[in-house]
Amino acid sequence: MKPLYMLISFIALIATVGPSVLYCMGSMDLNLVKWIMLLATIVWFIVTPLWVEKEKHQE
Amino acid sequence: MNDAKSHDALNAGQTAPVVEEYEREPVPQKARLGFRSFVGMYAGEHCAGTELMIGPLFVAAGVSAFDLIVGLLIGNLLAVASWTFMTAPIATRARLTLYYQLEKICGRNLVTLYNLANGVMFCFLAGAMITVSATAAGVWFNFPMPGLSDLYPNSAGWVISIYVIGILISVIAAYGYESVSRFANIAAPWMVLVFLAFGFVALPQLGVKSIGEFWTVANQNIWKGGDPLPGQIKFTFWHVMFWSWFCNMAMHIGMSDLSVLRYAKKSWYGISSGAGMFVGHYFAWIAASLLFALQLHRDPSNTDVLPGPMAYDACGVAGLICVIIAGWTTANPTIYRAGLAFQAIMPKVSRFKVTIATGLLATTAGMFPAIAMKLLDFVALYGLVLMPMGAVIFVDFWLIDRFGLHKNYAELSGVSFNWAAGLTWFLTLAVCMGLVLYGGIQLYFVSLPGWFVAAILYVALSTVYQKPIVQKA
Repeated sequence: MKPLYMLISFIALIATVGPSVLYCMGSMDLNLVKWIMLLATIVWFIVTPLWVEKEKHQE
Repeated sequence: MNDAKSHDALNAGQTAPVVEEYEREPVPQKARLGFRSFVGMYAGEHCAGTELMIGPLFVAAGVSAFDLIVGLLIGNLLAVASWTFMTAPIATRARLTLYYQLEKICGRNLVTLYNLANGVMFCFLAGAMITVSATAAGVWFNFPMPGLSDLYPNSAGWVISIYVIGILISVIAAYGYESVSRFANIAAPWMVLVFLAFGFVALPQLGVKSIGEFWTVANQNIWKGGDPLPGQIKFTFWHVMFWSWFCNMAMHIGMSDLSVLRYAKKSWYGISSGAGMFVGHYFAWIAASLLFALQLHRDPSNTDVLPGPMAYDACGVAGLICVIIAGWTTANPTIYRAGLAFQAIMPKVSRFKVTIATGLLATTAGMFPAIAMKLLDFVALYGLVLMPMGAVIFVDFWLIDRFGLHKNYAELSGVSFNWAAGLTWFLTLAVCMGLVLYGGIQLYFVSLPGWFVAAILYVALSTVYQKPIVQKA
């Protein structure tokens, strides 16, 4: 499961900053940017501890 | 911009060791760390809640685009050079904590005094971080918040919010320090990207439609130069350069980061501080300053530097969460470390009680917006206060035996208060404050001559103070 969690975390990070880049380029509405950033934030904080903590225990 | 957070990252980090280990012995070979550990630690450490105040305060100080972009570039390069050429070489040779190194030179009682100064400074810094977090609460509960020139709290909602947040942070610092530091490590990469998003969201609203337009818009709408906002000091290129160089003076030239870099395998790992400088002290400050420039662009009469409303306006709830987490995760270890510094003075009082009392002190400080609104001045003062002891360590390590004097004099002689080091500290601060109060030199510029004053004073006073020591067979 760890590679999957890591992939989801990575996608959440991209979704945190990506929409603002698209907004800067004029390709996305600001309200949508805010919603995607919030969703990405929630996903990041739920999923990342699952593999970070596991990695720490393994160490 | 936070020393405590570095220890925190080292404590809980996935990549770094427990800094409390090897407190009174050199770090052994097996515990030494690679370059990547330090890159991660510095990048996370220097993306803190206070960055959200500092960026806007540059704009409030009437800085111009060239002065900010180039001043920060050179100032941060000088800061990285200070870590690499001043702190790391001593750290990787002695491999001792700052406190043990100081104790060997200065004696236990003088280190206690240093702890007190450090603890008080940490308290005020934590207070500013609580202030930052409380500005996010203001968005939710809509109470009046302080303006740029306010020195005192201006509403009951503000006071209640500060105390609720401050007490919460203090109790967590006293109970669950490690879990918060783990959370801070998880939050760090996300937080850096939210800071970047602040910038990307603000740029088009300020009028930047293409990369080619950036410089023109930057000069016209963002960092316009000219007069500062009322009550602020005008910042030029030199202000920006010296401020960004010395804002972490306590850590590099002041040698606080001996405790961190003693784990580095090689001395050149000091350049890893560049990750913190250019993520936090370059891009994050620039992004935060864009938020304030946007607010002024929309309404020039709204000069309030309130990270909560600015972040919410730019990135919605995610921005608000970033402000809370940035303030909380940095205030927490800062209060913890201030508590440890005070506990060293009162070892019989439990760490829990000391941390709670320290947290309440920081919370009371945070209630007064003057500290956060004058953060540029406070940070310059913080570096100045601890700088002379860094000069003492530098001279003692590299130079003092060339003058026929003893290194680590307190350890050799058994004195508990090395007056040569103590007087160096007090007299240097007196000279620097004299230059500020009577010499017309601004606070941001006195630390550089102050370092040389401290270095010369330490050698001169040691010549008078040190007595010959008979080595026991």
